[in-house]
Amino acid sequence: MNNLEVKNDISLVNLILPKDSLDKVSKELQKAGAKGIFQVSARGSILNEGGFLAKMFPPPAPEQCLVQVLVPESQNERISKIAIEAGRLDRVGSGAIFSIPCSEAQHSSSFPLTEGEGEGEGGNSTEITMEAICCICEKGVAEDIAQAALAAGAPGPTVTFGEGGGIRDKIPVLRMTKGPEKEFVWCVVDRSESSDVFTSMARAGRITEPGRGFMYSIPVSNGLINVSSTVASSSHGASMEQIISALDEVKGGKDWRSSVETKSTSLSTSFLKDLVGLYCVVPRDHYSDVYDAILDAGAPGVSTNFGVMADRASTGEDMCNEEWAIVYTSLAPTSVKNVMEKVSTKIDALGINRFAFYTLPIPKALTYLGG
Amino acid sequence: MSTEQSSDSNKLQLSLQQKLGIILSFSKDKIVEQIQCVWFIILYLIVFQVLVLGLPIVYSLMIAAGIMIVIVGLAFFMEGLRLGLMPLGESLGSTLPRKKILGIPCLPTSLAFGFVLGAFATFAEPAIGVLRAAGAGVDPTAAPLLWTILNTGAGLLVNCVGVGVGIAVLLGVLRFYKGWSLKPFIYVGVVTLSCITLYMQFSDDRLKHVLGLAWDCGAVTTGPVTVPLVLALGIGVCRIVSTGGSSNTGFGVVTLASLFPILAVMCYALFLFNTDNYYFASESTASWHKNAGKYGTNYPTDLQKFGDIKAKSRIESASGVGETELSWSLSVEERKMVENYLNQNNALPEGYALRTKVAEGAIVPAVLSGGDRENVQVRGAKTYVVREGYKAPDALWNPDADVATAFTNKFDFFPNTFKPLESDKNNNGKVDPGEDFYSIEPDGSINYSKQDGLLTGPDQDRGALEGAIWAIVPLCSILLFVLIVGLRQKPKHMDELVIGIACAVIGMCLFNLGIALGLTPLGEQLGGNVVSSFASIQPWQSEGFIDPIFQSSTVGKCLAILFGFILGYGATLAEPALNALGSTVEKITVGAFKKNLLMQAVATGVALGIATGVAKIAFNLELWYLLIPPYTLLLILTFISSEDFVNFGWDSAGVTTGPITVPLVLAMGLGIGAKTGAIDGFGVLSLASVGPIITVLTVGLLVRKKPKGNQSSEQLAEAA
Repeated sequence: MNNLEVKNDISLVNLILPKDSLDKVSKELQKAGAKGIFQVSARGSILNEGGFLAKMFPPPAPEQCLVQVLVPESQNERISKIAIEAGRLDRVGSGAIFSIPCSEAQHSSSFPLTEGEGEGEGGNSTEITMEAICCICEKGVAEDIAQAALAAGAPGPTVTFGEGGGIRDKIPVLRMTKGPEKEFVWCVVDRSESSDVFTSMARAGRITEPGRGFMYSIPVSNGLINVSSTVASSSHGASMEQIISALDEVKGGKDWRSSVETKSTSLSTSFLKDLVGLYCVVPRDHYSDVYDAILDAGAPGVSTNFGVMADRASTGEDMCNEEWAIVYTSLAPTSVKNVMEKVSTKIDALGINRFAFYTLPIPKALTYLGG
Repeated sequence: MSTEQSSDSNKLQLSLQQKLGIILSFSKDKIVEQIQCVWFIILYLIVFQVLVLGLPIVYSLMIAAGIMIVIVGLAFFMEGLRLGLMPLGESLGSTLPRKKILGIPCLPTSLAFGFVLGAFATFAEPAIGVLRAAGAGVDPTAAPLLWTILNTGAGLLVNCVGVGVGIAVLLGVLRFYKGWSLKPFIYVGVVTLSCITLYMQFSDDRLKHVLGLAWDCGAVTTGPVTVPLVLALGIGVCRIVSTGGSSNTGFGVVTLASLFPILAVMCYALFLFNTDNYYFASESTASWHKNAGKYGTNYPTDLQKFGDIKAKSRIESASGVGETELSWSLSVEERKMVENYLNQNNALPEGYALRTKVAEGAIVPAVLSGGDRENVQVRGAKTYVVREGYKAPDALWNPDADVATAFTNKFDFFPNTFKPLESDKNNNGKVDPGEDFYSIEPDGSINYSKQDGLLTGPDQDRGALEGAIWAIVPLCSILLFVLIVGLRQKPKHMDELVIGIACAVIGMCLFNLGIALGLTPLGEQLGGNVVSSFASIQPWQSEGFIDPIFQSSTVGKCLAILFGFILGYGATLAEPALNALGSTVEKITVGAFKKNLLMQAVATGVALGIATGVAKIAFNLELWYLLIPPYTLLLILTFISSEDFVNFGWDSAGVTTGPITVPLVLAMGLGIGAKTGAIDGFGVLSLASVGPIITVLTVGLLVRKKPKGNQSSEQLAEAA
């Protein structure tokens, strides 16, 4: 009954795009043969350097979109190039693209997945240059965390809304005193800066205290980060990103940034090491079943991001978006198989025929550990 | 199903203490949240009354209790919105476009559903009571058409507005499906309305008086239950049908729902007018009516004059010690008491004084015997004994306030909304001569049998409980029915939904009660007393009179306008519907557009609008002077603003005039109107809904300027 196709050479390509270029990039990606383009609306974060007026009327954070596509390793480079061209991502402040190699991916046969030959060069995937940090926190806290990340040097943290829970869902009726709404802060930073950014985000969000959230980092194989994050005051000739990227050019890399950083910001808490992130992509109608199934299988916490699959090729009379959800949990490597099996049994029982799993390595995670 | 069973097995068991702890800290948070919304307006009202006007607060205990109840009620209601109403609306909205109901494709069913929802929302939350309060002093001879609409036509008025809102929601939903911009709707709507307004203003005086009612209808139709529901529904629909890049995000329905009722009321008025089916128009056999001619061009000046006389007498009876009979007179008992005291002590009792009226401008000098000094008397001067100062009641609780009646209205779920008029004694469905305010004798002369000219007829006095149940339960049942039976979609957490709806009902009920006990008396006394800045009045519920604070009435009126400004600001921040709109905007933009920025912009706009409205009443300005220019400005602003700000901005206009603002503002408008001889208290609310659109669009232009600068610097960088 489990007719899942297992693949080991899948990469998750992530794009952070401003809202204006979203449609264009999605269309180009679709033309290039990418399928299952998952769009989550997001907001960027900005450092407000403006004068009095900008302080009085703080400009709204830029509306962005987080796009995720599962792509075979062989197609990764081609698709990324197309996306960079379509969104002109090489410009300052135009967005970001990065890809994460999945440890393993399984999908049902009717799940929309980009076609591609198994053989590929896959050369650059071994080179880990960046780290993606994701922090799941209570609603309202994300702004502080994003500001802390900005202050620590992360370019343009992106915030999305979603739902999450764990213990909450096990409380009968009183669970409604705590809403399921969560905020997710994503940022991709250079390896050299990642631990500083990680700790300052954890500090700002007080992640190590009970009920505050969960954060983790994922290695990223290649990426191009050009997210706009500063509202320049008119007194500066250039925006801060322009100055920094000019410095990067002069110094010939980004390593100088870590040498500038003098203060040490180590966190006394111990990290959770070497977890596995299990992601399950299902249509939104079924997400609550999967959500419950993962919790039942023994996962400590689950979180969900909702988005839209941009597969509007079949747009006829009724233009409808198809809503999907990514249900995420992080587990110890030993229990992954068990949970995955339980969930897929459950999914089979419910007759859901389009879904996919993928797992990502999580070298470092942080949350309240009790005690 | 199986899911529930399996998850039941590992439910956490909490001890009672843990449960209490969770509930206590939760409710504390929620109540603190509401106090943050409400404290400003309450503190401001109290400070103004006590320190600026120098008057004590009457029934202070009752008002304090009422405010507590309002806060608790708001906390419940907002929780009900979060748990029950908004998830319900959103899940229905996101299911409607994807499924067929009974085999009919989604678009027609969605449209039909939208119409039913809009119409039903109006019947559930009829704001007609508010409008009738604003028209309480309408004079049937001065404004016969307006009087008819508010009296005999009240039932039909509700229907008209209902149909208007229904069409608006229908168009709004259609707009989502087709991805149309809101701007053309606004252009067409505003231009049409402006044209009709100008036509009504200049074609006939009877039509002119309906304008205030029509524009206010647009402002009050969208209540605290309808707005969140409609917003949530729109967001649900747009999640499914909008493309990623478009800014069609579920707003705009409220805008249309504010524009269409105006049109509906205007059409209704024109219909009544052209069919001669208004106050005494068809029953009359008198020649003055027969000869009135088309569009009332030959309307007898006599009747109009009567209205003027009434207005003038109202001014005279109400404004200033110098002119009123009231402040120069004593009751019979007082007279006897003063007489006795005077006989015994040869002096006036405490609290009474002598005042002199000068009738002629001539003096009678009497030279004193031994010198160059004279006694000077004014010829014909009359001296009266009057009450000096005023006396406020000591009672902390209004003895007339019946909490039980305010709460349930004796479980009368169908108050006399659609019952025949009270004055219609023989129940023949129309007002016969003699049952009425005035009748026309066969010879054409007018006989005024009832002098007060107050509105009679259908009333909307539901108790707090019935009001809450009416506003929430029918709408929610329709939504649940369509969702479960029509679309066969079971909501994920049924228990949360049911508890949420129950919370909303409880909250709304407490909220209504608290308003009746706390905010209305506070607003009424302040609204009435603020007039004392420029006129001599009898303070609310007190005996005696106080003199105006400023001798110059213009300065005093300016103080009243300033009061209106801050009142509008504070009351708007406490409005639940605006809170819901703010959260929705924040949710839709994933937090990019902060709730606080929107609320501040809207509150400032309402403040400006109400200040203008107070000025309108205080200086008796024509409404169209104040409506046409802002709407013209709005057309320009709308043209240059981005689509999403146009959506937020116009929608915020509909949510501003809610259950907190209206009683406070109306009381003040009526109080001032009574002193300045305004025919009705209309217009303040419609101005209060223009203001926020202007401010939100302006703020939008201000904050959007920055990213543009950024882009140009990018282009510079690219060029370099």
